[in-house]
Amino acid sequence: MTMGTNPTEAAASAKGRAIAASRRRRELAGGIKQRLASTSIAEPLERYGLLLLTSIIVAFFALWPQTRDVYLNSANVRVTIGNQTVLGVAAIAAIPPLLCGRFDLSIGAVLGLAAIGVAAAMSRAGLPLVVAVGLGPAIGAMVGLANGVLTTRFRIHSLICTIGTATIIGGVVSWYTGGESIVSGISPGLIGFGTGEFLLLPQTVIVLAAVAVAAWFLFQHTPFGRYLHAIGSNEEASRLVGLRVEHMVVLSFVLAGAIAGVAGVLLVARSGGATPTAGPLYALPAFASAFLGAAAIRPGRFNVWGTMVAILFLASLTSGLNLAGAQDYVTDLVNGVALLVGVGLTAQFARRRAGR
Amino acid sequence: MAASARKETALAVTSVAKTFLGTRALRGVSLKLARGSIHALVGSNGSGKSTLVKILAGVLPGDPSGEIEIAGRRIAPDAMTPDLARACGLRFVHQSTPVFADLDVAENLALGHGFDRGRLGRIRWSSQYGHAREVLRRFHIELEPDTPGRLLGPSQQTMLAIARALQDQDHNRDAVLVLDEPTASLGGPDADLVLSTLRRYAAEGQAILLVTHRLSEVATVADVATVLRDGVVVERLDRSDLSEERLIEAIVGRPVLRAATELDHQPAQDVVFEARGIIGGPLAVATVAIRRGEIVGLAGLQGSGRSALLETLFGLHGEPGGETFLDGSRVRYSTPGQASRLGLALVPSDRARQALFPDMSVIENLTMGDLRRYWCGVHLDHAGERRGALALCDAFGIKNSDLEAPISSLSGGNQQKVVLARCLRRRPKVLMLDDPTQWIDVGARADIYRLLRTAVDEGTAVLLASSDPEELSLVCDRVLVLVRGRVASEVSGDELAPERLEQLAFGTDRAAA
Repeated sequence: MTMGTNPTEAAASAKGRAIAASRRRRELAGGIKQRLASTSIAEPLERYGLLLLTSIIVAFFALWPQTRDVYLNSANVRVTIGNQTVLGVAAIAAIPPLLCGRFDLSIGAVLGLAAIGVAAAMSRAGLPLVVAVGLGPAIGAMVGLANGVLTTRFRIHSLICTIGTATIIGGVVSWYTGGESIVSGISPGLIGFGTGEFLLLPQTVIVLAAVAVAAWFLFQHTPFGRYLHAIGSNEEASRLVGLRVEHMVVLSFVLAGAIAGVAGVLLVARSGGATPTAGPLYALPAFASAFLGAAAIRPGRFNVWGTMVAILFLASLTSGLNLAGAQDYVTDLVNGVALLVGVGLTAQFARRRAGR
Repeated sequence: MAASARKETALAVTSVAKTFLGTRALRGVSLKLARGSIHALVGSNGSGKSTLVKILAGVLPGDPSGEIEIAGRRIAPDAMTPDLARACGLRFVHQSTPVFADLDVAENLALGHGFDRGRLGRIRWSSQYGHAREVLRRFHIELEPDTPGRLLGPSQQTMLAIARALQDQDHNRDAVLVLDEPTASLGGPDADLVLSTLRRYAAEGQAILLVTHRLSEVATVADVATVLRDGVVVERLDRSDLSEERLIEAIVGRPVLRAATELDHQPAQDVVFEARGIIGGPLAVATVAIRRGEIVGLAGLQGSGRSALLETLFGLHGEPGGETFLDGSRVRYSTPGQASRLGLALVPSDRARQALFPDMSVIENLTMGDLRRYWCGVHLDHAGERRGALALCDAFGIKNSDLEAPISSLSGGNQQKVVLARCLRRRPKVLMLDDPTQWIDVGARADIYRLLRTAVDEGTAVLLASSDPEELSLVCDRVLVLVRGRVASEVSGDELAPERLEQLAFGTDRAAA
């Protein structure tokens, strides 16, 4: 397709570049002090601060006598990372609605529903593996569609709407399972994949990486991703430049549901079954990671790589604390604080970008 | 007040300066505001007006040199705080000071003053309403205390905001009122109403510092005008010297506004866009036809349906009720998206709310409506986007140092040029603009007029709605005057003068209809 350039644009842009370059030189000469303060140190620190903090934490637990024997040994690393793959995909699922200024709190419930659906398809209905696995994202997308239509057509606030659907899903799941886990009849191929290793890392990391790359590409290198950002930035202006706002919002929820469905499949693969209560537990950590992630890599914007860094950060911290003998509730404390700090920092960065 | 006291200085600013990390936003600025006078502070965007106002308000510390003298107190410019400013009797009304639609007049007044409360924190409503009635009387506002905010007209809202700021001064009007662009969003008659009220306050002894872009207002209402350019006071004009021409020359340093009018007006060609019998909202069967190669103005009081007509024609309120024709054939559309695909474009009136993506970069703002052209099948061509944005900045004279910086870092004039560039890059058949030069300085305004004329020469038809009759008579080939949702008259040629437009907008003369 066309690249959208013509000779005059190219000539003008060359001139423009020259002007911009000379202006930049002048600025540099004029306010070196200012640039030192605002750009050279502060900007990379904002971008990579979380990554730096993660390395410090890892180094600390790797050297601390109480944890150094186990913290960095391959078993702990494998378990820690393996446990995070489901959460990683769930956190990516939270991003598309967040980009356009909506919340999908049902991702945890959808994840659980998809897991139950996939497990039941194999164990109760005896469907082949490929169909059962495809069912996960399909169920998620359906719930996402419902969320999207409810928030746009019926103008229910997304926060309330998705709490509602999450609660309904919870009810449906307990009714269907009778509170029992589904553990028998799961395809050994799926379980094998969930427990297998690839280059010393759990195989499920491959799925996380694929989802992350695809999401990153979608959000940052396609018009669709840009449109989601635009809607989140200024909905009315989006409408006035001709974007189909409602349409995009519905799609963002469908996408969130489908990705949460993938996370559900991963959960079945890793745990070898499906528990009715497992899904909702992922909602809060997923949001904590997405918000904390928005304070890194591209500060002020929800972004995939920042979210991945945030997950690594939270995982290395909680794993270290658990090895040091802290109780399980530490995880909740860490996630809660991370959510609040993430929301605060993100709002701060976003306000600054918007010049308010 | 005694006659002698009227000459007394209410506020004296002496060699105030402000340095922002290397750049000097203000240098040795001095001005004296006398009691019972209106002192206008004018200058283009970036001239230092807002910086000075912010220093007075204590929002921004000035450099330690110089001093501010008010109510007998000498205060160093870096020692001012919002509380101190208030204690000294400085009262600020900003252009966006809100009147709450869901609260009535008395409640709106109480928000700036505190509620009158009895035991257990109960609000004493009767005394509250009594107080409100007294304030309304004192400030010559003809409103009832229980009128809901949403029923207030634009001029009433402005006056209520002013009264809210001034209500707790002593009866002898000892406060200093600082008004930041009070009439920016008002139509001619509304603005006149506010200004005549301000004159009345001044006559009663109020000291008023008026920051504004509307030079005709300065010429009619101010006693003294201080002109800032690049952070320095370049001129101080007294009542007898105050004229628009003098002000413009002082502000820009060269005669500029007239340049826009000297461009040749091309002979109009065939009708590009026609809308017949448009109804909906305040609109009552409005009919508009625009020919290729002309700028058609849209005049009218606030509430006459000026903005509503543009929004309706752009499909913002669903399918326009009536018939729309583009290049002679009937077209139907019901969303802005469909309208823009047909070749319509709109520059909305409220830039911040309706046009900008504040946290997104200059590039992203420029390419938003036209992103598909950078989709090369697999991914977005970011380099091409950047080149395109640079070319647009060049063509539209958008001053930017960093295209990746958020758009909110640009000045108002440059932001508006970005919005205009975004619309025009798609080469629309019809470009509609709703008060595009509000809150924009004289220089950028002239640039925008020139850009419009260029677009028209390249075949775009322009429909320009404006609250400024002067602008309309300056820029347009002909002007349609809306009265109560209907095109009441049309003026062109020699008849196209600001006074005539105002007269028609009031509906006092229907001879030309």
